Amino acid sequence: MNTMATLVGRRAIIDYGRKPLNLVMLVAVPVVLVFVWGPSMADFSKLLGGTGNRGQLEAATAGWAAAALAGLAGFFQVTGSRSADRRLAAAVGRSGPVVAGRLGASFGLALVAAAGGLIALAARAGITDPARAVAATVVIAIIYLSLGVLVATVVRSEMNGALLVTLAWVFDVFFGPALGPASTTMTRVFPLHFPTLVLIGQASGHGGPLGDVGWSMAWAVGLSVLAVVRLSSMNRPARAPGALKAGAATHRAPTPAPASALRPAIAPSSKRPSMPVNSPLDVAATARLAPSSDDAPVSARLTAVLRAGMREYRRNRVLWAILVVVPAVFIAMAVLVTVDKPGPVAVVEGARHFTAFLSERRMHAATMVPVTAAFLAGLTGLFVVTGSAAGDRRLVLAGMRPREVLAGRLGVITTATVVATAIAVAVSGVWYPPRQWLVFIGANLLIALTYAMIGTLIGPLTGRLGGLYLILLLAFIDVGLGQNIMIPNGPPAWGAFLPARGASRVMIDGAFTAHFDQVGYLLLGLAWLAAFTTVTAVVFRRRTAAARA
Amino acid sequence: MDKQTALATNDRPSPPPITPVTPVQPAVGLEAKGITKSYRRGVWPRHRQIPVLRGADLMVGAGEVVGLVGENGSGKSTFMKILVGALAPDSGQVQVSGRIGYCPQEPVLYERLTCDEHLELFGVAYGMDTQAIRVAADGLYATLGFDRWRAARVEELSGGTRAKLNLALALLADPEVLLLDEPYAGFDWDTYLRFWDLTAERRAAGRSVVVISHFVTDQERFDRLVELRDGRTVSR
Repeated sequence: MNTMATLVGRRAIIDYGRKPLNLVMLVAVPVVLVFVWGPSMADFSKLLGGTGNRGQLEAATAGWAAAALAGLAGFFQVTGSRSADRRLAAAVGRSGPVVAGRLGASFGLALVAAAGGLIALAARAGITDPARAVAATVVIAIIYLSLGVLVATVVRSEMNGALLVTLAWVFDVFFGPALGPASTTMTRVFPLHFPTLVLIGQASGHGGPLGDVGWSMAWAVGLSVLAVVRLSSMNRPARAPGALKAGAATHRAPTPAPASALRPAIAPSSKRPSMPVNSPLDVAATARLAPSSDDAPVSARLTAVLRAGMREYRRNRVLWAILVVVPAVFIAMAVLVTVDKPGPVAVVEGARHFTAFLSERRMHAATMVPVTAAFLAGLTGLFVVTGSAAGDRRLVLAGMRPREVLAGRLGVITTATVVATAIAVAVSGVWYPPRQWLVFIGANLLIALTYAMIGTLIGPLTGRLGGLYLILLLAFIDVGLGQNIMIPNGPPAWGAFLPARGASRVMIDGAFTAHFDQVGYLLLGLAWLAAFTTVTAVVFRRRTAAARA
Repeated sequence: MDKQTALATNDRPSPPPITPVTPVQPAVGLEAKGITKSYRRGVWPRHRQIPVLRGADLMVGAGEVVGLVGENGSGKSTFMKILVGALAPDSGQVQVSGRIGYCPQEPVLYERLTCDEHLELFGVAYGMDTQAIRVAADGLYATLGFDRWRAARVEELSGGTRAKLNLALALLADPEVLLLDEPYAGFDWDTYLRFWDLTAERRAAGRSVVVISHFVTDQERFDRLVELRDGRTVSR
């Protein structure tokens, strides 16, 4: 057993190292979180009711990095080896050695993840209490490693599972005690609540008899046990009821049916539907792959693609759940944890520029809408394009025109984007209705559609997983930081060069003023959308069109 | 049959000079000449060119069933993709008379669509009307024996049933040229025999059929065998 477990563990580590994306993430995640996020999140933390203590935030980033890496490592360790591990367990006769090896490798990766975060932290700001930092970071890594393994044993789709782990991490980080207030009751149920407090050296005051360390250990041990149980159950070789003893089994080879007994069930050739032989069979290279003039009208083909696309998307229940739940929960939590005090915001009313003082909770309710809508729309574009790429190429080879397939896909993406945006707007509007509903909805839709196009462009370049993180990063940097009116002194100057600038200004106008005054920014937003849509169309055509067309 | 000919060329920069292919006779379903293709592998500075096809030729007449064989990695699927138009050659020409029905090696399907929905979608792509799609689909379900799975989503299908749907999409419109890349991988014996019945029927109707296989156990079912060896086609 020991040899097998060691072998499985060693091979798993080697396999992890052979994937370039893993190595890139191992370096990039700690560097981005500790070096880039840490310093810039202090102001953001104050908005969420946190202390804004830079030292504490920087310490927390090491834990966040470890959690992100460990969660995904655990998840992909299991999904990438599920079938092979089952087969191996069947060959061994029991799941123990395989599970031990797989979990050993995962634990090793969790340690590597924790080390990555800590090294980055040491290089960035130094570590004042090494023992506490190391212990808390390792506990955080184990919690997310177990979470990743658990999700992998439950969710069949690799993409949906990765998305769930990522969303759990997003909630844990953005509503955790390092960024927001440590005392909020509803965020105490998050797995990283107590370990993060231990990591940043802040007492919760609500740990009870177990204390913060005890709760942290309870999360780590509890999730680890669940992960082991689920993984063992998944890999356990199936035993047939009343299995025969060795040597008692009999096997009867299937008797092939005689060929003469087979009857071609297809209708006689003359009655079968066939391409009209007298129809032009197309002279040029493009034409031989395109439908003839007798074919179904464009509207019929477009309808067929759109209907099929909607059916496919509608049946991905996890995605629909995410489209509905994420805006509702994310915006509601953002509103609830924000300290309700007045803050300045630059607005234009009747060509008059002035600074208004508005409730920061109200501002946060409005600004979270485009962040959420952009992220979800980007994901929709990413998923739709990557999920249908091979099939779409085959459809085009069968005679569908690339522009018809593209129009169908864009129809699906637009529908899902409208749904996600509508829910985000509705949740925000329930608390704080915008002054101009139409302008507010239109601006958010503009940002969301722009990010949907970005998702369709990123997908073929990075694949689904890479695209997921890139969309998350882009939406947060552009819409969340680059256009954030709640940052002291207003949105940063570099935000003017990012896609959401124009539509964000329109969104502010719609949310907080009585009249529309941002024609220039509206045109800027539309220009970004037009540019991305054009590039999307060109790229889609190049990817799906027949190679010699 | 008043078939016209399709001429396909690639626009890659500076390909080796190719002698223009003279228009094929109507009896020729598919002709490929001088096809070359190489793949770039690895990341700089370790990237390298791996030549796969070094001037492969193929001619398939109407009513002919040709087997394309070769070792693993000999370039059969690459050649097939080039014939179909799914992949651009580095150089060479392909001529096809009529339409192509393509069955890729790995089933290319939409995971959350049912068999019926696939056949409907591809039927529309082929330009068939609703009635024609229904009749053709019913025939293929019966012949390939997966009628009870018509309302099941692809994600619920076994590998063998996916392979049947994969093949059915290629056969749906009864195209003039059938390019089938290991179509019977995963079939049971019964379906395997039915597949050959279908192929014989297509041949009798004057269709051109190319079937890729690692090895050919039923040589008598083919009119001709062509082997890909060192990137070139050799008659067997």
